[in-house]
Parts: sequence; structure tokens; C-alpha cells
Amino acid sequence: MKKTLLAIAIPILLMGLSGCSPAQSHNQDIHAQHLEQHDKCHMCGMMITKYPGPKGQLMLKDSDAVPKFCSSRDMFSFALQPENQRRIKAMFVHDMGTTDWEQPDDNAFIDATTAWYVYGTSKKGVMGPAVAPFSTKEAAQAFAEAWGGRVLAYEEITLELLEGAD
Amino acid sequence: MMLRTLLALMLLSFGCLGSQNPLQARIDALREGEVLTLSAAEYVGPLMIDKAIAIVGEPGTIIDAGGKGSAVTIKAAGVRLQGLEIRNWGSDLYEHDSGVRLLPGADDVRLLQLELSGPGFGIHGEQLKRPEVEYCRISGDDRRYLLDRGDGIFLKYVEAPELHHNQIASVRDGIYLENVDASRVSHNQFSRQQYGIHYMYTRNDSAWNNNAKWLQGGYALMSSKGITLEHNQVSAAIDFGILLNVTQQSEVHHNRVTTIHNPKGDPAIASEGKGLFIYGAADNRISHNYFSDSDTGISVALGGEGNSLWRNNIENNLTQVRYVGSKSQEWSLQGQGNYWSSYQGWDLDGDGIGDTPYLPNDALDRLFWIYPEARWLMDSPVVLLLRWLQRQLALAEDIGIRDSFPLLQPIDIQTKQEITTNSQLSDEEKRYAQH
Repeated sequence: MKKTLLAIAIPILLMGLSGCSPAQSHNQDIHAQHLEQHDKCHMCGMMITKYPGPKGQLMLKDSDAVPKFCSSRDMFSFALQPENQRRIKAMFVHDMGTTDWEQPDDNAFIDATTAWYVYGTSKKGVMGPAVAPFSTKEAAQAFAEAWGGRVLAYEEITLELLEGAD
Repeated sequence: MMLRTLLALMLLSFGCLGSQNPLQARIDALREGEVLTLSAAEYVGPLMIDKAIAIVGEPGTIIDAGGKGSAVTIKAAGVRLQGLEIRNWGSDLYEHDSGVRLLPGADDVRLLQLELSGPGFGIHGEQLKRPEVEYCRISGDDRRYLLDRGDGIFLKYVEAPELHHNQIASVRDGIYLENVDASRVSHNQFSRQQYGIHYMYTRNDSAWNNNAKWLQGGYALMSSKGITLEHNQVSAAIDFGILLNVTQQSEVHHNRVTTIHNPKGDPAIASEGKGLFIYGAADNRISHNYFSDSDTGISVALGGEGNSLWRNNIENNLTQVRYVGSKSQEWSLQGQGNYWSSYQGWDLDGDGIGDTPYLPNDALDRLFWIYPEARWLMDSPVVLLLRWLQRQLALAEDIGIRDSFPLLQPIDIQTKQEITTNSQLSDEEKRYAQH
């Protein structure tokens, strides 16, 4: 009897321990979360799925909270603040090359840091001009040709760029 | 026995379906311009109005929508509804279930002294002009999750709405305006909801003498231009009193913003309560407001620097100002700064203005915001010494927010003087007041 108990208890204990160990958080294990109907934008407080255009979300190193945003634009507004820059573990945006502008699908979330962006397009997002993300430069160029705007790399998205927009 | 009951039930239901709604029949029989006066009784919705008529209820006139769809749908211009109690409409927000639903082209509709209660939208209108909603009481369903409720008044692609003297509670947003021009919103009361007034892509609006209390946020100005927000109040909000977001050329003055506190707020992710929150907004003029007793008085995110702030009272906030950036901003205009309860300078020349500039945040504040893990050092002797040195040597010049002309006395922020005595009320309003 004691033996069986131990046989059950030890694996459970081990599982518990491994669950707690910080070594588990490999970057490749991080996945974007689904946007729920009740999720509110961390920056502006609005209901995220109520509005069209690419959304964003990010994971922090020092918090379990996953701030989600009504637009990739608001995500950058948050992520580029000096107090937030160094705390970001992962950043996701909708790939507009593979999903619908009006209702972007959560399966289309991609790593924001490797994405290409179209800025100043005629397509409307929320909270100012959209920052439309694409997984490839070609897709971004094709979109820019169809809807206008400039193609930019991730590093080129700065607060100055977002500010300068009217 | 069973069979007979079934048969009776079937007959009953057929009987109901077969006969047309008697009130609808009366409405259909009216000619343009006629007024239908309803005596106190309970009537059944849904109702459809397709010509310019007025329906006026005596006290105790109730229209019950039976729990689904919209109670009253208006598809003609020039309709007036007055003194009705409308209740129990549907909750399907996708279908725009509303107490009163205005379809495109229903211009110049007047909704006066209505009592509206139901889970969907109180009033919903799209693509129309000059609707008027006055002296209405709108309440949603408290038991529903905030975001599953309809808005009190929802208007989209609407010109020049007049929304005054309404009481709106337990809804999503009290008044939600999207792609609206020249709205005028005054003397409304908002409570137990998301935001009091929520502007999205609007132009040239004005709101005054509104009062918001016990809600997520007071007044949210988003992606809009040319809003005048004056003499409004907000207290006991969780996220913000006033939000300026991608909004330009707005005038925010004589507003009273107090006790904005988020009990679950975490400064590490900037979710604390903010009296005024500015981001991505420029060219706005903010003066003669009162920001007090909140988690943070004024929070400015990078990208929100280009606004004028002067002659505001900023009193007793846990953090008076939060601005992490290092761009220099002058918060004064023509030699007039703000009143800061935390200012500790002198006025030796007695001109009412502090002799040394006020810097609400120093370089160390910024350091701790950027490295929150070092917060425990904040009150250490070394940091105190650094702070003192910084002040003595003015090390932190031209970084962040600076008020070169801090006022020593708080300014008097009067509420807008408006004379509304009984003699000036219209006959209509007097009659209503007597009920």
C-alpha cells in the first residue's frame, strides 16, 4: 500500500517541481493567446474585437499579465515606452497577409519583431493610422501597392513615427 | 384531457399571432403630423413608426417589448415620443436591440421624458441628423457583464445630436458617439458603466455640466478633433477621469476630476487610476481643471507631449504626474503655471508665483519607473541625498515636465453659471416636473 502511494506521489511531486522551475520558459514555447470578446485594450481600454484592423499582444518578463491591444499601433505605443521596452519577453501581431482586415483571426498572430510593416495605408485601423504587419516583405509590398503606405522593418517603428502621423 | 389542453393552447397561441398589435393598428391609422395620446396602461411592442407623428403618454403609460427585438423602431423623420415608459427589449447587441431604434434617415426625432429599461441599447441611431434626447432615464441590466450590455445612447454617422438632462446607469457606455459631428451633450448623469461619454472619430463636439460617478472612466476622447469639454465632473472612476487619445485641437477646461482609483491597479504595468491620461494626442489646451485625490493626477505617455497645460489645480494625488520620457515640456502659458499641492518653493517677491520652477518628476523618478525592481532603494539615504543634490544644483534641467511659474494659491474653478429657474422651463418641462 505504502509503495503504491509512493509510486503515485513521486511522479506527481516531480511534475510539480518541474512546473515550478524557471528553466521551463523557453522562448519558442510562447504562443499568442486568443482574443476574447471581453478583452479590453491595455492602452486605451476599448473592447478589442469590436473594431477592425490588426491587433497586438505582448508577454512581460516580470508579470503574468498579458497586455492585449486594440491595434498594433497601440501595442507599439505601449512597448516603445522606456519603462516597458526592457521588460518585453514576446510580442505578437496579426499577419494581415493571411487574415481578414475586418475580423483578424487569432491563428494569424506572428512574432512582431520579425514582421514587416506598412504604415500610412488607406485601410483604417483604430487609434490613428494603422501599422499593418506582414510575415514577409513581399506581402507588405503587395499590400502597400494595393492600399498605399510605406514598407518598414520592425526597427523602423518608433514613437517619433507614430507621433508624426496626423 | 391532455389533448384538450394542447388544443386549447394551440388555439390561444394562434389567436395571439392572428390579431395585429392593437397599438400598432392605431399608429398605422394616424396621418402625418397627428398626435396620439395614450392613457395609462400597459401596451405591447414591438412598434414601428414610419411617418412624422407624435406619441405622448400620460403618466403610467408602459410599452413592453416582450423580451426580444427593439421596442420602438422609427424609420421616418420628424417623430416625437414623449412621456413613455419603455421596457423589456432584447439583449442582442449584434441585431441592435434597443428601447428606441432610429433607422437611417430618421432625422429630427425628439425623444423626451422617456423611462427606458432593458438589456440592449437604450437608444440606437445610425445615419441621421439632429436627434434630440432630453430628460430621459435609461437603465441597463446590472446583472450582465459590463461589456455585454448595450450603450445608453449609441449614435454612428449622426450630425448635430442634442443630448441633455438624461440619467444613464448600468449600461456599457453612457453615450457612445462614432463618426459624429457637432454633438452637444450637457447635464447628463452617468453611473455604473464603462465610460460616461465615449467619442470615436468625432469632430467639433461639446460637452458641459455632465456628471460621471462610479464607473470605469469618465470622458474618453479618442481619435477625435475639436472637442470642447468643459465644466464636467467625474469622481470615483477606476481607469481614468479624462482620456485624451489621438485627439487634437480640443479644449479641456473647468472640469473637476477627483478620486480616480484602481483598487487592482499595478503601477508596474501602468494600470493605476489616472485623473487625466494623455497619449498620442497633441495640440490640446488643458486649463482650469481640478485633478485631485487620485492614484496618478496626470499621466502622459511618450507621444503625448505637445499639449498646453496651465492654471490647473493638481492636488493630493499619490503620484502627481507620471511622465517617463525625457523630452522637455513647459506646463505654463504666458507666465501662468499650475497650482501644485506638492510644491515646496517660496514666493519672496509676493507675486503669487513660486520663485523656483516646479519639476513634478525628477531623474530618479524616471529611473525607478524604468527599473521598478530598484524601488526598495527609493527612500534610502543615498537616493535622498541624490535628490537633494539634484535640486540644489539643478542637475535635471530641461528634462521632462517643468512648470516655470507654479501658482501658490489654487485657482477658483467655478461650475458653469446657468440660470434655470422654474419660470424659464417650457410648459412641457413643467408638466413633466409635476409628475
